[in-house]
Amino acid sequence: MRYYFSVLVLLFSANLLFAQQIDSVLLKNADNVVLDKTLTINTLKNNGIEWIYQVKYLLLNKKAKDKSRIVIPYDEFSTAEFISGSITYGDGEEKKIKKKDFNDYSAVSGFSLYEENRVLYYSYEPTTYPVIVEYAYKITKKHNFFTYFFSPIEEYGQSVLKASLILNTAPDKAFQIKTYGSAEPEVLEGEDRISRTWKFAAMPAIEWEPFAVDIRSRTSGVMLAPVHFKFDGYEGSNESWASLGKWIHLLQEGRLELPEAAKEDVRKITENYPEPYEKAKAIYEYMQAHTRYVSIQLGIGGFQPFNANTVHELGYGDCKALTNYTQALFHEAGIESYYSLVKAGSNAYELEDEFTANQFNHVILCLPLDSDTIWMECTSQKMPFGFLGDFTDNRPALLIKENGSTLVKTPRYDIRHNQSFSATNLLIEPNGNARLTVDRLHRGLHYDNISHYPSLDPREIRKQLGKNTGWKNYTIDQVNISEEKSRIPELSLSYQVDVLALGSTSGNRIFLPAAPFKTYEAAVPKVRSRQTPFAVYHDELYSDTLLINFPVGYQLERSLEAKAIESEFGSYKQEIKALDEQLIIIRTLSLFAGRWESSQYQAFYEFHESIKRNDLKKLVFVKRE
Amino acid sequence: MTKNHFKTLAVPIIVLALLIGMSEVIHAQRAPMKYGKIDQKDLEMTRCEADTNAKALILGDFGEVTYQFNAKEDLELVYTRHLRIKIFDQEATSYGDFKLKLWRGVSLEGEKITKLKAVTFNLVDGSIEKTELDKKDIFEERISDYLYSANFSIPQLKAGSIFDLEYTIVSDLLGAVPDWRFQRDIPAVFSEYRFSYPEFFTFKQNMKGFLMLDINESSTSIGHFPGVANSGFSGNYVVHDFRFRIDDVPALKSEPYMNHPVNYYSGIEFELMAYQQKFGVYKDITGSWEKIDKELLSSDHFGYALNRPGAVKEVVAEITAQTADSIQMLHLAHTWVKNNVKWNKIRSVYTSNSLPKAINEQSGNVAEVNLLLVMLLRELGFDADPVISSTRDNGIIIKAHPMLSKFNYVLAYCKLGSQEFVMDATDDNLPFYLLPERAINSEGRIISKKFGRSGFIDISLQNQAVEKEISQLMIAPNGIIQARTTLQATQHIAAEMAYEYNKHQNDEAFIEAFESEHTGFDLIEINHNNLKDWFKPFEQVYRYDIKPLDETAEQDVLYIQPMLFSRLESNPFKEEKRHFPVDFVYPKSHSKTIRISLPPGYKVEEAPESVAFALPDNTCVYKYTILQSGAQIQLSTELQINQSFFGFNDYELLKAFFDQVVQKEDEIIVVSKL
Repeated sequence: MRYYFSVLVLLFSANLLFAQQIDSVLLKNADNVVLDKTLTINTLKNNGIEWIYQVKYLLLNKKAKDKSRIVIPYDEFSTAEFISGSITYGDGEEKKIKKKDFNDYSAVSGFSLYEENRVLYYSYEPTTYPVIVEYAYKITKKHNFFTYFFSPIEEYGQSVLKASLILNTAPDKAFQIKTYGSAEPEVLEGEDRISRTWKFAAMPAIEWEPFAVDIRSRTSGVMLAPVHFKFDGYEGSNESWASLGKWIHLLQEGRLELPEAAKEDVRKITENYPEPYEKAKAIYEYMQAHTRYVSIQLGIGGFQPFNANTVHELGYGDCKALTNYTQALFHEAGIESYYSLVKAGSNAYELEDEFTANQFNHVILCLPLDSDTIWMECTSQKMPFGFLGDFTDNRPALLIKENGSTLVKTPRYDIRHNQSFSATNLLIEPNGNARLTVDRLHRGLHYDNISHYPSLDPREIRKQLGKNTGWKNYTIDQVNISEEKSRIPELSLSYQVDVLALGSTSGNRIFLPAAPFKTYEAAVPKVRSRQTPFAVYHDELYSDTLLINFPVGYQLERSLEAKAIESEFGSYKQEIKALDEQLIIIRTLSLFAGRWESSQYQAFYEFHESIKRNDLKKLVFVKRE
Repeated sequence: MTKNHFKTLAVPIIVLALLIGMSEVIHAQRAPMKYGKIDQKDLEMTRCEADTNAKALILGDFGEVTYQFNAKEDLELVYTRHLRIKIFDQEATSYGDFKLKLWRGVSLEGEKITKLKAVTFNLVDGSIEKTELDKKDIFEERISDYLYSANFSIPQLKAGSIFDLEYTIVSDLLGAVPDWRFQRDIPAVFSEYRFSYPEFFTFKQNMKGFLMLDINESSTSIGHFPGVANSGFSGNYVVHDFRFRIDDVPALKSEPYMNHPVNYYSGIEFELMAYQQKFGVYKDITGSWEKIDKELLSSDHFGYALNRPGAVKEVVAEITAQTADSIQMLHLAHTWVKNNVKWNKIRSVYTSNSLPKAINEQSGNVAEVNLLLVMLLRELGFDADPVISSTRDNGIIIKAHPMLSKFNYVLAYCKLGSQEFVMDATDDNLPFYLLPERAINSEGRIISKKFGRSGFIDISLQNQAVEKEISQLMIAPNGIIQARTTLQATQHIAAEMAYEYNKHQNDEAFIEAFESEHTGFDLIEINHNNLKDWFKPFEQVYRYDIKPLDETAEQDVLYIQPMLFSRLESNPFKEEKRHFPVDFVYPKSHSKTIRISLPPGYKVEEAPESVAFALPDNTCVYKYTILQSGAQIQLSTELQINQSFFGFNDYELLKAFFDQVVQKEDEIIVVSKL
C-alpha cells in the first residue's frame, strides 16, 4: 500500500537511490536519469527492419512526468508490439503495465486530411517521486528507408547512466554510420551476421540555456541509415547524394502531367512576358492564387508527391505536391526547375554533408536562371517570388535530378538585407500626453517577421504596434501599410499614436522616455555561469531616428549624450543633435551572426544590457521661470 | 415498432385536426437556400460591407434536425446542414477544411454520414465555373476506438470563391441533438436552425449569448408511424417544430479579462429530458432539479460510487492519528487525495471507474477525485456532499433550465458548523479552501440525500485575494538605491507567486530570471516564508540594489521613481469599445507601502500629490497617499477591485479609472541638494 506521508517518501527515495548507486554528478540539473537504454536494430529478409527498444528511466521529480508516457509509433508499412513494462514505486512495489492499458490513436496534430501514422499510447502520471518506469517494445518495418539518430541523452534535464545501440546486419546490408562524441563500436563478425555495439555511460544532464546551439553538437550519439534500401517496390541507395536524388526522382517520375486547362492558363499568363524571370514570377503567383497547403500523407506519400493534374483539380496539396505542381507549370512554359529537399526550421542550419542519406523534412523549388538562382517556397500563398525567409534560408538543399543531384546552398540574408528603419516625430504636452508620427520600413528577414500585418484586422494591428512599448494606454490612427514583394521584400508602415502620459510628470517637470519607440528589442537574459556555447544566426541592422519637439513653455533640464558601443556581437551608436526647441536622437544597432564559447556569454549579455539601459533613460523638461 | 404501441396513443382527434391545419403553414416554409444555386453578385463581391476586415463571410448556415423511421422501423435522428461561405482572402481558404466528428460504438449504430456533397464556384472570365468535391477526396480517420472523423478539403478555393457544403448525419443516439452556434469567428448573413421532434420526446431548450433572435417560431405538424401512413389517425403522432434565425451575425472576437468565449457566443442547445419508451412507458430523464438530484444519487457512477468507504480506512486512521483539529483534518484529507490520485484532466459528472480502482490506478477523472474526497471527509466524520458544476469554459449554469448535460465537473462540499467549504483536489498548487480558476463559475448544485440540503451554492469566489508590498529604499547621493521589499499574498495571488517561484530550479535560477526582467537590479538575497503553509499568507523578502542609469558621481538633483519594485505599468483596457463583460474572476486588493530615505543634505523639491478616487458604489477604489518628514518619505497606495464582474456599460468608467491609476503610479519625486 502506498498510503505514506512525506517523511516516509524521503526515506524510501534514499533507499532507492542508494540501490542504484548514482553518482551525484548525474543528479545535478537532472529531472530524470536513463538508468539503462538499449536499441537493437536487426535487418530482416526482404529489406525489413526490426526495431527493439528497451528503456528504464528513473523519474526524479514532476518535471519528468512525461517519461512515464509510452508512445509506440507505427504506420501502414510497419507493425508495433508492446513487449512488457512496469512502474516501480519508492517502496519497491511494482505495477505491471499491460497491453490493454494502451490506446490506439491517430498521430496527427492539427489539420491533416489523411495520415496513416498512428501510435499505441499509454499514459500515467506518477503521484510520488522518485519512481522507475521501464518498458520494451518492438516495431517491425516492411521497408528499410530510414535515417535514425540515436542519442543516449534525449532532452535537456536528462542524464544517462548507461545506454547502448546494437546494430545487427546481414553481411550484405551496409550502413552509413556517423558517430558523435567519442563512441566507437565493438564489432563482432559472424558468418551471417555483423553485430556492432556502441556503449555509452555516465553522461551528465545538460541544462537548457538561452541562444543554445543544437543539442546534437554537444552530446554523443550515432546517426545511421542503410546504404541500399527498398520502399514499397522502389529501390534506391544512399551511396551518394546523386543516388539518393535519383531515387526521389524515381518517385516523382511521371507526376508532372498537367490537364489541358492548366496548359492553357500557363500560355495565357506567360504570353506577354519575354523573360523567363517574369514568366516564372507570373506562374508562381498563379500557383499561389490557385492553391493552398493541406497536409496529406498517403501510402508512400510521405515521400512521393501527388500528380500535378490532381493538384490542379483539387487546388490543394502538401509541400511535395505543390512544389511538383509548380515545377510542372514551369516545365509547360519551357522553364526547367528543380524539386529540392531541405531540412527546414528556423534553427536547422546544419546538415551532415558527408552523411549522404535523407536528413530532410521539406521540399522547395529551385530555378537556376542565367544571372541568378531563384528559390521558391510553394506552400505559402503570400510569400514574395524568390524569397525564402528563415524557415529554409542559408542551408544546403538537395537538388533532385535524374542524374547528378547535388547539395546547393540556399540564399543567405545578411546585414544588407535584414534591416529596419524608423523615423518618429514626437510632440509632447505639459500633461505628459504625446503624439508620435511614425514611419517605418522593414526589409529581408525583418519583413518576414511582420509580413502578416497587411492581413490583420485593424484592431489586431493596433494591438501589435503597442506591444513591448511600455505605453500606458494609446490610440492609433492613420495606419498605412504597403508592401514591395520583391526578392528582398519590404514593408512600409506609417501611423500616428496618441500615448496617454508618455511623459510622467511632477509639478514643474516632465520626464520623457528617450526611446519611446524603437524597432529592436534586446532580450538577452542573464545567465550566471554559462555552461554551453551560444549562437546568433543572422546579421541585422536597425536604425531609429526620433525628432522631439519641446513642450511649449518648457526647457530641457537633462539631455542625453552621444554614445558608441563596439563589440564582436555588434555595434550601437547614439547620436544627438540639439536644435532650437527640438532634439534629434539617432540610434543605430548592428547585430552580427556568429557562434561563441560559453565564456563569452557574459560579454554578450553586457553588450545588450548596456543598450537596454541606455534606451531606458529619460529626458527631463522643466517649466521656464 | 409493434402494433400495440398505437393503442397507447391517446391524442384527441379534434386537436390533431386543428394541428394539421397549422402544420401546413410551417411545412410551407422552404429551406432558406438551395444547394448549388448562388447569386452571381455574391461571386463578384470583394468584401463584406458590414465588416470590411472579414476574410470570409458565411452567406448562409442552415441546420435542421428531425426524427424519422428508417427501413427497420427504428427511429433515427437526422441532422442536415447546409453551409455556404464566401472567401475574400486566400488565407481564409482554411475555412474549407473540414473534420466531421462521428461517434461510433457507443451505441448500436452510432453516427453515419448518409449524404455529403460540396461544390465550389469561381468566376472565371465572367462566367461561373463549378468544381465538385470528389468522393475519393473524402478520407475517414479513426481518432480513437469510438471517435472517427470524415476529413475533406473543399477543392479549388481561392480569394473570391464561394462554396456550398451539404451533409446529413444519421444517428441512433436519439438524445444527442447537435448544439447550434449562430455565431462564429467570421460574420454571417444569416444562421438558421430548425428542430422538429415527435411528441413522445420532451426537450428542454437553452438559448445563450448576447444576440437577439430575429425569428423564433414554433408550431406543430403530424408524423406518421411507418407502414400505416395512410391508414387513419391511429398511426399518426404530433411533431413539435421550432425555427430560430439570426440575420447579420457579427464575428466573435476575444478581449482581455473576458471569460472563455464559449460563454459568449450566441447559440441554442436542446437536451432530451424525457421520452415515452416504446411509446408506452413514460420515462422522465431530467425534467427538474429534483429529478436530476434523484438520478445522480441513484447512479452507480455518482451517488452509489460513494458506498466504498473500505478503500479509505487506512487513510482515515493515519489522519485521525495525526490531528483532532477539524481544519487540519480537512487540509490533510485534501492533501492526501491530491497526492495520491492525480486528476487525468478529464471533466465529467460521472465516474468511469470505481473509487477503489482510482486509488489503485493513482489517477482519475474529476468525479473520481472529488467524490473520493467527499467519501474520505464523510469517513472522517464530516458533513460532506458532492457538488456538480460547470467549468468557466463550459459556460454558466442557468437555473431556469435544469439540464444535466450542462454540468461537467464535480466538487466536494463540507459544512463545518456555520462554515461552508467547497473543495477541489485536482490542483497541486492550491490549498483546500481555494478552487482553481477553471472551477470558479457562478453556482454549483449540492447533491445530497439529506432533506433540504440539495440546492445551489455560490462557487464564485467572494473573498478578496490580497497582495501587500512593503518596500524600503535608501538612496545614496550618487543615485544608487539599497532596497528591501516584503511581499505578502493570500489565496490565488499567493498560489500564483508560489507557482512562479517553483518553476525555477533553485534560488539562483529565480534570481537570474528576476534580474533579466528588472534592468539595473542586483538581487542579493531572496527569502520565503510559509511557502507550503496554507494557513498563513505567503511571504517573499527581497534584498537588492538598483544601479542608476547614469553612473556618475554625486548629483545635485535626483529623480526618484518610488514604485520601482512593481507598479501597474499599462492599462489592461486599451480598446475603445468593449463587446463583452469584464470578468476579474475574483475580487482583489493590491497595496503598497514604500518608505524612502533621502541622502543626508537633500530635500524634496517636487512630489506627487495625495489622491483618492473610486468608481460608483466603490466597486473599484484607488488611494495614493504621500507623507514627508525630514529626509523620510512614506508613500502608500491601495488598489481594490471589489467586484469581479462588470457589464459592458461600465467599460468606459473602468478604462478611465485604470488610465488614472497607471498615470499616478508613474509619477516622480524630485529631490535636490540643500
